[in-house]
Amino acid sequence: MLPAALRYGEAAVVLFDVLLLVGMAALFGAAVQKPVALGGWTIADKTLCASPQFEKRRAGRAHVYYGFGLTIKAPLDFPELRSEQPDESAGPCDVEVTFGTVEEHPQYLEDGDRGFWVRGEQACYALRDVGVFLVSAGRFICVEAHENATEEALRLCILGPVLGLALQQRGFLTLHASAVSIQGAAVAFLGGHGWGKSTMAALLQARGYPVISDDLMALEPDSNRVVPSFPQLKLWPDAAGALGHTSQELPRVHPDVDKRALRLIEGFVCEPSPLRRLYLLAVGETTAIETIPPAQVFEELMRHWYGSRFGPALLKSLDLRGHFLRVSNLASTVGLRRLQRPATLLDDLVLGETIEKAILEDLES
Amino acid sequence: MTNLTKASLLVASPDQVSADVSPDASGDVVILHLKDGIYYELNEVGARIWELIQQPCSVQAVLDALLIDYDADAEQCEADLLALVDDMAGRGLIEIKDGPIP
Repeated sequence: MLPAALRYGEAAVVLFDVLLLVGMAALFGAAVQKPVALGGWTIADKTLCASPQFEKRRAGRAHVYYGFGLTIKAPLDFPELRSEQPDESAGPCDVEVTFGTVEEHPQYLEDGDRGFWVRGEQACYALRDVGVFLVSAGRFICVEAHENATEEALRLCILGPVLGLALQQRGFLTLHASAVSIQGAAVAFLGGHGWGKSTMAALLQARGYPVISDDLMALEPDSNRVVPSFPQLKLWPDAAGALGHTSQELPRVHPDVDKRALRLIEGFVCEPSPLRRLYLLAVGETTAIETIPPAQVFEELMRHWYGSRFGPALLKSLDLRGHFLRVSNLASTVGLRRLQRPATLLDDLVLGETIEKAILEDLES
Repeated sequence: MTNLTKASLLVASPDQVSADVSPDASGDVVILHLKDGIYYELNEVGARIWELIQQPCSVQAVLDALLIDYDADAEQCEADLLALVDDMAGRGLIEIKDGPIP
């Protein structure tokens, strides 16, 4: 039986209205920013230090942390991350952060405060007044901190876009999503800035579902398992308040940003979890979960790929065929549904229960 | 470009990658052109044609297969197929080669 629109005899309908051109939006055009790639670069000379206020750090012993399933050695305090006892016999850390000089800075966009270039196994991200971060082969992160940069700002950058690049280079599939563990499997919430990813994770965490990741979600290179990020949720004060935390008791994620860091002592998953379902967050009249046509699922997954923030340059530098097949596989095996909820997410304490019920019912179907 | 006839051989271009993104392999095919980054969605009939031309396949063979699968008017079907093939070739998704001499 043919779909109605394709059946013959219904005069004007052309059978081969095949190229629906729904996807005519060029992937390369789906970029957040237009990065500028420059010619010629060298790995920063680690004996140089352009950040005098961090020089003392270099002399001290670096700490070893654990996040995204990786050991991370860094000359900075990361209260967000779980720390590891340095084990000399365990060999080198997966990721090593050092302060240094990055020779080739990306150009900032005229109207923006970010810059980016990528070449081979190196990618460089810059955030105005914070620093320039050179990420090499998923292993080395060279930080050239701006003289006025605060540690909070540097940490925020390293734990977000910079580690995002390192994970990408290591072959992880990164998505702009939060995730919690429900019945032993990961359930993820996709969305842009301000769509309520962290709030959704916090709401479910308060109902007993451990958090897996917030904002940056990474899937293992060869499987659809989500690696646990680190035990922190970034919440706006109203969200923190609604969940029973006073803003004063939670540190700001950055001096200039009112978002608060909710660091989780418990209720956090430490092992990779198979991804069971992806939800695209949306706001509507009621709480409802609806299916999304497969081709649109693919499109949404590409849109909410964490790397899209770096613009077309990163996408073009990838093994595009492999990336496409990876995302398609996620679309067909895990799938994406739209989770709609009322705008008054925080005013209504019953809503958490309603959303939980809707998700549990949906997972059964 | 070679003239498009019923003897022409059609084959998917090496500059693209495609996948069925539906949960039940029901033919929701998405094609990405690797050079220009444009992606396309195929409907069910398009997906059937796409499946046929993953190996070089003549226009006639595609037409025959479609006429078996779908209750369609042969003349209309041929005209639609040729228009589609021309469009896809123009977008670099398929290659058209001269078929064997009849």
